[in-house]
Amino acid sequence: MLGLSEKASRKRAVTKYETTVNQTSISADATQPGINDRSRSARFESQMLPFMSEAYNLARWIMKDESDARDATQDAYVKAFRYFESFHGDSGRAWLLRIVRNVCYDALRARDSHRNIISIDEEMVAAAADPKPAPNVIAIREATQLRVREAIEALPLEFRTVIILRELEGFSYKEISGIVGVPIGTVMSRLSRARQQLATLLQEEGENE
Amino acid sequence: MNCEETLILLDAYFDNELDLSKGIAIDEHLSTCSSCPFEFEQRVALRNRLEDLDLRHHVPANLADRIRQELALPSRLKQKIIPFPAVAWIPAATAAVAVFGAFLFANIERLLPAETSLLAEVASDHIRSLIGTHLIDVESSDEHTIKPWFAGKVDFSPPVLDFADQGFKLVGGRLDYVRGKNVAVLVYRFKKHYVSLFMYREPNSEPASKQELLNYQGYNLVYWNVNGLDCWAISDAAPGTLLEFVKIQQQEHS
Repeated sequence: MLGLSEKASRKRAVTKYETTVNQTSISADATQPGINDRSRSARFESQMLPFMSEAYNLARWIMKDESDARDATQDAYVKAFRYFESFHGDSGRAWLLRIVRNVCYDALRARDSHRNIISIDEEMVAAAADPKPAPNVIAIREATQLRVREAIEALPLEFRTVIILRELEGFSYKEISGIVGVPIGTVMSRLSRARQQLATLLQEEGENE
Repeated sequence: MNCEETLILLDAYFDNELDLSKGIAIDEHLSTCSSCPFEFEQRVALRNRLEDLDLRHHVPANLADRIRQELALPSRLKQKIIPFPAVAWIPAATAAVAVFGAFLFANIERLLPAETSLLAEVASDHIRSLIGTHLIDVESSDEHTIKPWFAGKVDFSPPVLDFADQGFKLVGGRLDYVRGKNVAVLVYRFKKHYVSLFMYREPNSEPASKQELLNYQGYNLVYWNVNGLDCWAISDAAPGTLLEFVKIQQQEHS
């Protein structure tokens, strides 16, 4: 959950934003929303609101909690609305999900700075290429929905994020690189490690049955 | 290319992110290596499994309202969500159903004049195609198989394009009926979801300057008009996905 102080500061931030808009509005009557506000809202609505499903899905997978995911999605939309002028690109989906990802990571840091955020040593990727007992493909093919969900949730945060962005949302490496804020090579190595871990997790759970 | 280099690039190869020359080098290695193909197969198995399962988390009921409220946006889209009354009305007496049904229908008419019955027709066609066996009349991912199939069945030649590269794989076409006339329907697959693209000639249609996202019984629909063709895309895929599909279609047709 977000702390109370953080919720309060979000409220403050929104209020402050509205004040700014009213001041710069061309409307003479400060109590009426100006034409600029309305068209801006309409643009935001048509360009950003359709991606709520993707935004919530990512937040839910990162936060691993429904209530936290709701808060994060809402916070992300508030932020997106505030910084909407900085959206110039063609993929609103990637732009919004970048904000969702950042909001979630911030919230996780606030929630638990030790348990959830792991720092990934990119050098570990080289070690992943070492020969290891290879997971059984059949275990992957037969994994149940619950087991796969649990395995994804058990992945380290950074791995979980790239798996969701690639396998569930179908983003390209370049887009993932923009959303997550790491170079394309890092996206590639994280995905590689994530897939191997996922395969191993599914295998282990299969053996425990 | 040796095993070590291959394994480093294997995911990029699997995700179609490698340039041609590296891709060919990996092709060659995979055809001769005894262990690397297994690594590749594992990724294929994993992706297939993830695609077959329903792993998306769905937006909680009132979250959209909360966000609109927070941003002080009018709840416009919400009004366009057309309720599906059937289940709710079943327990009611038949007469009551008739009366209320008429009332509800009038309500829908007010929300979306003229388009609602059409919307319902398109949606029912799509839903029927998923439940029954009439998803596809001509099964092919080949544009040149499907396009001629429509000749003589509809009064125009529908643009038939495969977008497998963008995730929307053309799986076939079918003939359906909307407002009493034959319409061409292309069926695409996006992951687990089917997208039906309805097309029919409507010379009287005003060219729609922008498409509109609608929702009917949980299905998302987008309507647009291009070159005298009325187009409807419908799917249970996420609204964002459907809008991407429409964007790709519009780019190709314009």
